[in-house]
Amino acid sequence: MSAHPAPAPVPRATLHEELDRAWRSPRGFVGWVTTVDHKKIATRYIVTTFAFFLLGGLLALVMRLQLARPESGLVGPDVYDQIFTVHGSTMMFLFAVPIMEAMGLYLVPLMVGTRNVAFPRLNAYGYWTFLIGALLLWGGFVLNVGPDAGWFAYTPLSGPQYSPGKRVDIWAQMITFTEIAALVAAIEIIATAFKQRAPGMSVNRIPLFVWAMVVTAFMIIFAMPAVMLASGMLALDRLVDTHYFNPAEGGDPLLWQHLFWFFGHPEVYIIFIPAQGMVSAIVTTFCRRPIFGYPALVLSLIATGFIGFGLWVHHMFATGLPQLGEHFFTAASMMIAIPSGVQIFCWIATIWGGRPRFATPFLFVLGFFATFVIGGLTGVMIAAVPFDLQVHDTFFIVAHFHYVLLGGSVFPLFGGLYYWFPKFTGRLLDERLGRWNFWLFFVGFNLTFFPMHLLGLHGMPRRVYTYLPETGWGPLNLVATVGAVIMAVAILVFLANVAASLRHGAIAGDDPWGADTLEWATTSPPPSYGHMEIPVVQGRFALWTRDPVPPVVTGLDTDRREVLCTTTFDAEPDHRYALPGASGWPLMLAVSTGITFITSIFTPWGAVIGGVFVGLAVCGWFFDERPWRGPGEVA
Amino acid sequence: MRTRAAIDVSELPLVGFGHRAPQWWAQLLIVAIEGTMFGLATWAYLYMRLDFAHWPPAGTPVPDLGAGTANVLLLVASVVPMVRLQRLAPRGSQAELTFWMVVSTLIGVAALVLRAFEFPAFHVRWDTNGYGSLVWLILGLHTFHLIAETGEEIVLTGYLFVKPLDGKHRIDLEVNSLYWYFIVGTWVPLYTLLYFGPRIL
Repeated sequence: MSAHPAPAPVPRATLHEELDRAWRSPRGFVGWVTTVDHKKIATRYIVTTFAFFLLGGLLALVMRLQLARPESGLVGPDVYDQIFTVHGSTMMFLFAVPIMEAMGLYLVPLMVGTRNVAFPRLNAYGYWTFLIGALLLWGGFVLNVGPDAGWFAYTPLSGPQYSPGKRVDIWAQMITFTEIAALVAAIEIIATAFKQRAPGMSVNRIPLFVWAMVVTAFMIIFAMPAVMLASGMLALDRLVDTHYFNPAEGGDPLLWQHLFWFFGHPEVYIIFIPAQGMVSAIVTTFCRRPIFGYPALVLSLIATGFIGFGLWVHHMFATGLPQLGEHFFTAASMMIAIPSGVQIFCWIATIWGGRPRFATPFLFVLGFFATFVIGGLTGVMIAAVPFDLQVHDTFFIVAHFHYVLLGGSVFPLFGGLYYWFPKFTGRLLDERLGRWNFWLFFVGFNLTFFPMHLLGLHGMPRRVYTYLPETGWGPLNLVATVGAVIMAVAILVFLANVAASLRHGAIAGDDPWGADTLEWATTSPPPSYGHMEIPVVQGRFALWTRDPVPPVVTGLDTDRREVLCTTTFDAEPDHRYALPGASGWPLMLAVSTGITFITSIFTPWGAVIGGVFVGLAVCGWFFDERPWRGPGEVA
Repeated sequence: MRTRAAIDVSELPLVGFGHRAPQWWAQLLIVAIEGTMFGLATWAYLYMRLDFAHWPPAGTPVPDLGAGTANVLLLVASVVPMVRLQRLAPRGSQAELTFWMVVSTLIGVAALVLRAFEFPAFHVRWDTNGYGSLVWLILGLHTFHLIAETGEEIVLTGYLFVKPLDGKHRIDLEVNSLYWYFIVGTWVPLYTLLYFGPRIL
């Protein structure tokens, strides 16, 4: 920083031209595969993951049609097993986690007032790796080698003895791909939020959505290694006869459950916490007032992050654990209700003291309150061991986790999509269709999943492909199927809304909702460089607290991709940091990674063969000419 | 929209070292990821111990200490040149840094050679029993890190020979040291576990 008088302001048109020359992606197909623009990559991520949401939803519909009446012959047991496994795996690994991260990858850099994520090429690599893993799972399913051991692939069922063939191996490698992608995105989000915040955005002014993404990213950092290790060990058991999970040679199937759920339970919060961030953003904007209890909300997010790691054993109450362990995990499972409750009360207080505007994003948030509270209550019920033993592996559990996952995450996500769609595309989604979308989804959802509580209490086990008429489960199952069809119609309404609004939607302008966070300070959709001028943040609600003539940062070079790094706590300007431009190497490295993992399904030499490609791609990446190195940069 | 120039950053440095650098944070997070993996593998080893009456299982001898002990001593000693390298990274000359990178790379290669003798020292195959599987998992995971890190050092050293050093690559050298500390720091407890676990557990 200097005490010199500020240079004469550059005309905005000139500034736009200079910045766009430095930041825009190359054109055409080459540009499409080499871009490192976080907005393009995140948009691609959102579209891809949403496509997998539709595919996973179609599988759910097939399951509901099969279960609509007793002894239905629509699909046989083998196909049904593949369907529920691929449905669960798709929704967890190819939709819920990546779409939340994608929203973060799009919004976090804009919200903290910078121009791109901290490692743009790594970001591109993450997307390509995710895509290869996703195509592997669905390619396998289409070719009738879809995994069939359930989305948590319990050993010994998933081991070499009971699951010969390559179905489970495809599942295990899909895990590795998607978890690498998730970890990459987590590193991006933390580094960007810690180092690239606009000056003035000290930790007590970070938007709640960014806080939520940071907590999520830390949970990913500590949870995903468990499932990568476990799926790697499972693949080794199947490929080279190790005995990690083989009791005949001293291995232990329960070891799998511990490792899987050490990941699997935090996973629930990895999906849920970003949604809480979206709820906070939407509640603030649509109640037109500063959110109530910002410190309590931040601390609740962090507390949820910690407690989320102390719950995994409650998935294993039926395995005969020591009683002391059961007590501990029951207590921890109930404790998680405390931060969740604190947040709900803070949101209610905000609504209470605000002037709520019932637009579609806010409707989805209200839908979230209703459904998530029900899911949370059944969660407290099944935290108790005796009750859990009663309903273990029944449809009660299916009902519970769909209430928390759809209620807790998909409702806020749709709210978020309606809320940020104008920022992504420059056009608003239609409100009337939005209301139809919400009410159909809300009614369909409750009609589908509420009866499952009752079915579970009546003893209907999950993962059965059919049942006998004498059980009396037919009518409630039919109701659930009708609900599923209504949900499908709701999704069709959403797709129609998107298709129509992309062409004919009302022009949004920079800030159609009168919101408080920085992504609304730039144009919709944002230009290649994000913000024309890096803002100086003057308060917690950046756009509500800034001067009429807002202060900005000057002095970043515009002839290359330069961003400002600030200090981690106080966000004071620290140094300038040059980011790389478009490159084909991330795709090359992702393909090399793909060769490694896919050949490893068939031979242990895959690691060596693929390792050579990976090594070459890493070298290519490292020695790539650096278009961003300006003259005089050499230190 | 009119704006007001409030902060001029044109004279700020082009590079920040230590926790000021985004790369430092990324390296720290990678260490957290892989440290978690090693921690869980250790936990799995101890968990599986509970399934056996004897450790190592009857018929498997305890591991020979020679190669492993030599290697752990080498790795601990390697921290000294690495600290030197880390301190020099922000300001050292290209010649100095190249020299210390060559030293570090040679240490990495030596550690890999010694590691090749460690696998047979356990007298157990990965497919013999659960004990053997876990030993190979931990040894294999750590060796994978050692290979990756040594490969990275070879590439970085090669770079120093052919290209002029800039600020960005000085940070690369600095975070490379951090990664090496992690590899040494995890191996000391893992060595203790693998070589003395069978003797005392």
